[in-house]
Amino acid sequence: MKAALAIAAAEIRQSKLVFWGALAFGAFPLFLHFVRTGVALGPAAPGQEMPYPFLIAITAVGYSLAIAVLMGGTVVARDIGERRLGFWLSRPVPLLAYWGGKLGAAFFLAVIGGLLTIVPAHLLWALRWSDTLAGLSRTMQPWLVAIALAVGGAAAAGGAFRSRSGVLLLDIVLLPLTLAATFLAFGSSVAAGADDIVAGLIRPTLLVVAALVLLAASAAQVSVGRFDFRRGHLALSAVAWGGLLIFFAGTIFVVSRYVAAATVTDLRLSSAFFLPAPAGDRVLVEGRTVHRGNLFGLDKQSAGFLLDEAGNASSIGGNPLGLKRSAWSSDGTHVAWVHLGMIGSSSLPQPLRSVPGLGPSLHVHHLARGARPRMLRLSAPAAVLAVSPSGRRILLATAASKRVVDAETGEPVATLDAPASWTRAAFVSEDLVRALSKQLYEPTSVVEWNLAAGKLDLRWPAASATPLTLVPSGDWQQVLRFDASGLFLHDLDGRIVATLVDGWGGRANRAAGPLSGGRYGCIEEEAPGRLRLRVFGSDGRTLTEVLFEGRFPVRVGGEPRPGVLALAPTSLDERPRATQFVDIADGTLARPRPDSIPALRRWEPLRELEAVNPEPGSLATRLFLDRDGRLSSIDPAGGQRVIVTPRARNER
Amino acid sequence: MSSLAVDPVLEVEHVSVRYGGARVVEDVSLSVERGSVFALLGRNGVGKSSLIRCILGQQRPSAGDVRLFGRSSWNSRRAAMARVGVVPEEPDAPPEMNARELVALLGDLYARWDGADVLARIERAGVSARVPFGKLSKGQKGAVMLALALGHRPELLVLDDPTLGLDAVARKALYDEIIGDLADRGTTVLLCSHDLDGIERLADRVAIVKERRMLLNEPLEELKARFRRLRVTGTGASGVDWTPFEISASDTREWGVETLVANFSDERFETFRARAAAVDVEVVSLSLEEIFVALVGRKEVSS
Repeated sequence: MKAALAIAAAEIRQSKLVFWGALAFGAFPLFLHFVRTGVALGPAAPGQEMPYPFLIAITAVGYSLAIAVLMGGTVVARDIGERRLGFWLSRPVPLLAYWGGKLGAAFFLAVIGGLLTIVPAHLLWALRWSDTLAGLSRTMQPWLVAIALAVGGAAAAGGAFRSRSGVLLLDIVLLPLTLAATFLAFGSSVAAGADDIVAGLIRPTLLVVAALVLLAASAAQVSVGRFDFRRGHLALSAVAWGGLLIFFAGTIFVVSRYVAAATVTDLRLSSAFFLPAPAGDRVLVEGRTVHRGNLFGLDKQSAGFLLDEAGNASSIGGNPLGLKRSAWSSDGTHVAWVHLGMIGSSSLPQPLRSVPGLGPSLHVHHLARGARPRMLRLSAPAAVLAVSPSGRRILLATAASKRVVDAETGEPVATLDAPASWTRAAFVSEDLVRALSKQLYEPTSVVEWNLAAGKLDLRWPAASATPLTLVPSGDWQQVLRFDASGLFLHDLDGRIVATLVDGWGGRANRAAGPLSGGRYGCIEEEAPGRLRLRVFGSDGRTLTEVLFEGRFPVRVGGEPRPGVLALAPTSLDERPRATQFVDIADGTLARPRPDSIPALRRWEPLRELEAVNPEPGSLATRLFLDRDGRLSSIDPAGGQRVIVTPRARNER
Repeated sequence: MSSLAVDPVLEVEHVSVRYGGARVVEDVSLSVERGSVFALLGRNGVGKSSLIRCILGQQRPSAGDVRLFGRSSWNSRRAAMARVGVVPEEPDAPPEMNARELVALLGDLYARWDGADVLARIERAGVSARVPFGKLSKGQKGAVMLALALGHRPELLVLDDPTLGLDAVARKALYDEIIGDLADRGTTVLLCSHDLDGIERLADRVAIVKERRMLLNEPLEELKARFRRLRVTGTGASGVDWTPFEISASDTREWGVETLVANFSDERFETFRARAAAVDVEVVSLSLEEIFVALVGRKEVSS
């Protein structure tokens, strides 16, 4: 230790210029202020905001990192490059003391240099010591880690260059390989939905590990190689690349695999999202999983699963931005979703965007084939608006355009310049896109886009009658409209096909689904002191009415058995939490499932019904969430519950 | 070739050094006794510096073993260096530090350090202790390095061509300093130099490395005693029978034959003389430099 301190002290004494340079750099923001304003900084009045705190902080951090790189890259490397290592090796000094003294001096100079840059601002009253100390206490740890990383990296790089050995060629090969492996591993983590975990690991842990690996590599060069520079360089490269590969690419890859191994039973559904197939026989569910307990306290990640009637669940990977960017084909044979990749991936260079997982990608799952979903790279983030019944065409929305792509190749079939928020409901076939336009053509209209001719037609003539949605039956040729006068089905030419509700009974009325195969519609009407649920057929005829005392907020959440609607509380936090069931034939109520609500509860009246038309008794109508977020399905015959996600949302 | 010393400070056993596929030192063995001055000679590029680095634990031999004070120099470098002083071929002290700072620094690194003595030596050499090392002349650097090497009173002083580039005055001063230290303390010296005159003043034992291998290793006096140049003139000089001499080199001149014999002794000379009575024979003693040049500068001739 004494030797290391002596060597460090000698090195610091030789580098006194660092301190003077820090003071000069520290005065730069103040000089800038004087040049700009012609006024020197003076004591600040209480409460007055100090000028240039950010610039001063950047100067301090930048100066310290520059010194870290400069000193870290020379203190040992210079002895190697100028063949002066023998001076130290011929002393009774442990090699690690020599190395530690040298790099310790570099670290010390970087830290003290950085701190000294803020002294002029304090001496001239531009900054308060109390503010600075408070800021330092918050930022000290990452700052020190960054300096250690800079010193270690520069020491390793400097040692490699100055040893002048042929091993440098190996480094030149391994550098891009390590970067590629790291990016590939990170891409897999993004695809698995583990990027949050990896980011959480990288910040505090992997950067420290990287600094230690690089410092160890530099130490290995000196201690193993001594005056055999080729041997030392080999040791450096082995430790550096081995360590970085193991700790970066390896750790990220292992974490990704670990996270991707989560099953549906690991889901914690505090905020789940469900996307049922049109017939309701399959459901995509997305939520957060906590895999095998607690991995560094960070193993909560987004994960998606495809559930089917037989109780099978298959992973669809991480889909952190939700299934809202997903769609089923109208026959339920295909489902497509977009994975946006790494946040900010659009600013990545193209080669990196093409790394699987990092850039946006389109995933198409042909359920009949039973194969793994096909992944197609996208050039820009997009959302799946619709899948054609054949599964061969997919309508994508990007920030600036609509695009129909071939589901086999991802190649665009047709492109239309239109903003992303253009479409509310959409249908795509081999040659046609029919969509409810919200913004592109005011007022809201139904747009038909002939793909072969590239021609746009407006099919909704009633300018004053705002359509609610396109009805997902046939080629989506019906429009649902509601306003103060009632709820109506129209054809595309604006003619009324059916009047579902003629007039409203109260002020705060809401329409609710499902519009089960066109068989039923529901409407909640407020009456004085009570709430009335009216169930009507597609011809508008009222089938049954149920009255609730008080203002029990309900939503129709499914039809777990034919002829029986599940009425759910709108929130698990509301009381009573019990799901009630109403028999459409006679309006009788049953309450067999306390503390659970249908998973497919409707939060917005009718608006979520565009593509969902579950068959009575299908899986989609039989999924229920209890108050702790456990997902279960009930058997339509006996009402038996099958637990899908056994763990509560807060259970680790 | 090597001889077992009673109290060896340094033992080198079958050491080889390779850089990749290039062989630099091949199966070299030697032993340095306590209190002796051992000179390691060889032309440039024969691997002397690599061997020195192996001896100092700065480089691991590709094969063989080096022991300093009975312990592996590679594994026990730190302990060994507390007892060894080194003057390298190229003065390698930090160029920004002056002699005074170097003395202070090394005072912290050695358990036993006589800083005043070091500064006195530096002053005696006429070197300013306040001038940065990098700005000193070559001779001044050598003087400072020698002073630093002796500051902890080493048991073994390793001098790797310390006189390289020095003028005659600086060389003399350096040798005087070494000789003084030898007289005072009986320090063991391993000396590697091309200054063979200087070595002849100091060395007890000489080893010569030729083409990566040890050519000879023996006491200097024995070496000088067994090497003679014989000049044979007169009729029949070219056909003379050299038995019982071992001929290291032979040249035919206009006036006769000049031969370097490697096993000269009075008895052998009498035997030779008896056989070659018809010719005139002149026996010439050789300096170390002449022996060295004859051995490594010429092609060997089998006797």
